[in-house]
Amino acid sequence: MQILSLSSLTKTFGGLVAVAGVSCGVDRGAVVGLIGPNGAGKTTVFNLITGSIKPDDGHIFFSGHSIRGLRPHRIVKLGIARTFQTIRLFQGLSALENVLSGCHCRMRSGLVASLLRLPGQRREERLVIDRAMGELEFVGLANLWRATAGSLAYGDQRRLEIARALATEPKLLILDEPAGGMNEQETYELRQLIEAIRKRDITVLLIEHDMGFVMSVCDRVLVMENGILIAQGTPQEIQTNPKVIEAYLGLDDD
Amino acid sequence: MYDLNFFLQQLSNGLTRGSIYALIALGYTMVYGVMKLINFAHGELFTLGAFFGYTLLVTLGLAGSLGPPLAIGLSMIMVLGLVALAGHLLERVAYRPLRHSDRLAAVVSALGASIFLQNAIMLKWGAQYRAYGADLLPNVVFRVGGFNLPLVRLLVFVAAVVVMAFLHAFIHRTRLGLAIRASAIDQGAAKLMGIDVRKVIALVFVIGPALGGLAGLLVGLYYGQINYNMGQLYGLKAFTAAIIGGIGNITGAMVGGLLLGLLEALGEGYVSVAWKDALTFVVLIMILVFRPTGLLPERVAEKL
Amino acid sequence: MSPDLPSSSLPAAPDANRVDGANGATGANGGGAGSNLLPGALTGLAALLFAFLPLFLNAFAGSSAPYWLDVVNTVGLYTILALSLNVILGHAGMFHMGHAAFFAIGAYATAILNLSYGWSIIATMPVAALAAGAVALVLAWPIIHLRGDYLLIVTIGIVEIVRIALTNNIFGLTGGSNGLVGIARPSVFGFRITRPQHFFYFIWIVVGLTMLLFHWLENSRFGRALKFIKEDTVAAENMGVNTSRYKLMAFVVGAAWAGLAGTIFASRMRTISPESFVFSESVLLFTIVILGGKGSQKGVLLGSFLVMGLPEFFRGFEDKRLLVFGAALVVMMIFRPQGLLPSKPARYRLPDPWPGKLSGAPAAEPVTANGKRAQNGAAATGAAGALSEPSGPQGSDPQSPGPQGPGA
Repeated sequence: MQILSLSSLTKTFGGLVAVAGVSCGVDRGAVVGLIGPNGAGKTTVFNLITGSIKPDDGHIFFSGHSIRGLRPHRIVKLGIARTFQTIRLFQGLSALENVLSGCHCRMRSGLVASLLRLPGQRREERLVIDRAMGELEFVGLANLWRATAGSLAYGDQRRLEIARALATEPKLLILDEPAGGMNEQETYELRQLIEAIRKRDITVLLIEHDMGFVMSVCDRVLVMENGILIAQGTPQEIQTNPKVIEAYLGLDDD
Repeated sequence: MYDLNFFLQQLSNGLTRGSIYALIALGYTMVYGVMKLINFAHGELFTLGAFFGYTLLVTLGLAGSLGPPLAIGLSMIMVLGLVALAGHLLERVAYRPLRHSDRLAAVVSALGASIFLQNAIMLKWGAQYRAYGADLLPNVVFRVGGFNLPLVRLLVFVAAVVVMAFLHAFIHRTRLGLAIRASAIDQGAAKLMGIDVRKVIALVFVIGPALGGLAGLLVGLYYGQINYNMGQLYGLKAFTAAIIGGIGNITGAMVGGLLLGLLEALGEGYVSVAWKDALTFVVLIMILVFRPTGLLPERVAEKL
Repeated sequence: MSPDLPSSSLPAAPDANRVDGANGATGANGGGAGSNLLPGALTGLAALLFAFLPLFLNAFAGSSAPYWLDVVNTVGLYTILALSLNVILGHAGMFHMGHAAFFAIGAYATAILNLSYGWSIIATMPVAALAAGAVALVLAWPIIHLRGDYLLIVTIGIVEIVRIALTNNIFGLTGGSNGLVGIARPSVFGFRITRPQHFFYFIWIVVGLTMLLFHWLENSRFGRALKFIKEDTVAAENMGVNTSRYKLMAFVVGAAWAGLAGTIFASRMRTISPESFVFSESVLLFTIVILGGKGSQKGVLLGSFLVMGLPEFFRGFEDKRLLVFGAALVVMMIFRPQGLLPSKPARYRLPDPWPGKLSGAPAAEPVTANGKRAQNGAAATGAAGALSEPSGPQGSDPQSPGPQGPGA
């Protein structure tokens, strides 16, 4: 069952074709990697999926519904959450508050309830803090709940971003270079985390440059180059695919 | 009333007004182009020019002692210089220390400077209207075809256009002008090309205010009356003109100014006087909402 | 009573959180952001003393007491206004210099209803708020996407348009530049509020109410959404926050409250004209919020006292007032851009069982049985996160993969 399917997705910026007719699918429950040289259009695809930019052509289907043209917050509500290539945490806020931002879309308290602090609103606040702490614990940051996001170590910030995304209760989690800047130990822990996420019945789609990481954690790999999807298959298939090897001029095990 | 002469009247009125707006708008646009900051104090620099002119021509009696043509010419040059200096001081005190701070701080500082200047002007020259005096210029009126063209209107228009022509030449034909244009497009790249961006910033804060100050003097000559808070309304209108032409776009500011002047004069003549100011604001809002890059075709679109 | 730990936003080495969360997350603050105990008591004491101000003034200021009371009342009114602007400018971070327009709409709504239709002042209050809010909705909707400085310019334009409309006697209702005269006094449960003493309590009770409600708003889902938008609008949108809707709502709420203040103003002055709502009023409000510390209620209160009250002590310098404010803004931005009393980060009280779970954490980076660095420290108690097992079945707590709800 495909949870996400892209068909002939195209996006052009000025004269540059960033994404050219990309068609592919992501199976529910899978962990799929999207790789390719810099400038291949990978983050653009992510931005198209999450609604930050609108495609010029093509379609995006999520659980069977078209999400093309929807605003990002609507897409989050439907069940897709993301992290960013350059970390985009709320730097001046605490770790807990950052995760609470993810909880926002699953809460119901409106203006009046908040203004008057109605009992239902107070109850919901307690519930939501509990949930947020749970996500922090899940990624191993519970003790740093009060820390300012900007003051956290780089690897912790990445994990916090994931906790924040998880708080939106996504069905599909999109990670943009989650292992960026991580050392071997941290990468290992990240692999664990992704496995744990998979066990929560969340599908994962990620962009990564660390080939060892991608090959060990992904069920399937999609390869892009110059806006075109040049190959897709299992990690083994990809590693031996001549087109892929050519695109990278030798796969490096970063 | 609705005949050719009336129309030409409004047209000439509008062009003159527009040329004044254009001068002021240039100040906004040049600063914004390089610093991506709206210089809220610009309107006050315009007012300063008007009052400097007043002091020179009336208080010091230059008009009387030197005769109108010489006095006015000299005053123009002096006002250009004095307000240029004021602009430079403004930049050093209120903007330079905040170059690395966040935008809100710079905006608030600009606002603070604007408030300070406006009230300083009021304290120095008083809150009442000051008159340049109707006898400053010989009361000559040319008759062109069927309509009247007062000398002062012609003079103001010509002065503004000449200055703008010089500016245009400067921007497009000199190295400094090139440096300004480059910094407006991409400060970082300009720095890498060896352009001293700080000097460029200092430069636009000298040229822009000078033009605004001159416009103040011209307003004094044209309307005969000045007041300490005229900068607010003129500033807003000039800003609208800069937006119309695409903020950051120097030619656009000139065109936008003229367009706005025309629109205003025609609106005043054919619709109503009372609402003409509101009209400007409505235009501003419309443009910002529907076409924020300005009405001119987008040659270099990403100035915003 | 355990002494309160200073609110710290540095990475908490695994220290205990606020242990007084142990008695359950209840009380007026629920499990959400709470307030301090000692400063709270001080504030209460200050408020109590303040309530006796009219008596103090009568005792010490003699015949000029009504004058000073008026000053305090003005400060109070501007505090209400500034607090309403704070929602827009301080919490949502939207540059807004047109707030006087909404103040004006509320005042005029009250004046028109009272003079032409005989409504009682109190009855006009909700209408004034509604009118201001409605106009804000209409005006803000097309411009809500504008970036910082552009929004600022447009809001300036808005306040001018409103003022021009009022001066031109729009719909024949507004009395033109002479304004409207003879507005009645408010009457609460039959008690007519006429003298400064009456207005003192009327105004300052509204101030207290405003501070309470907006404090609750700030520490709620709504307030947080605004915080996220202010920090990083794009990230907020990508986390599921409908940014344009919330910006609009913040605008409308702030405007509606300013409309409410307009009612108080109208009935206090009994005469209103477009001159009372000129651009410089918006500038004053903006200054109050920025000077005091945007986002911070105490800051706004202080700002109001400084901007509206302090000049009264320097009567001779009345006309230099704005000069000082202008310079103050520049100086503040250079040396203390966060304002005099900047807002503090929100404090949260963890509901059970978290305080217990986290306080048992070891101090340094412990090594688990597997020899790996454990960041969460909770590994010691076995209530592990997902990371302490390399593979295989989940740790000792089958519930840890997903947060379920209250009580793990």
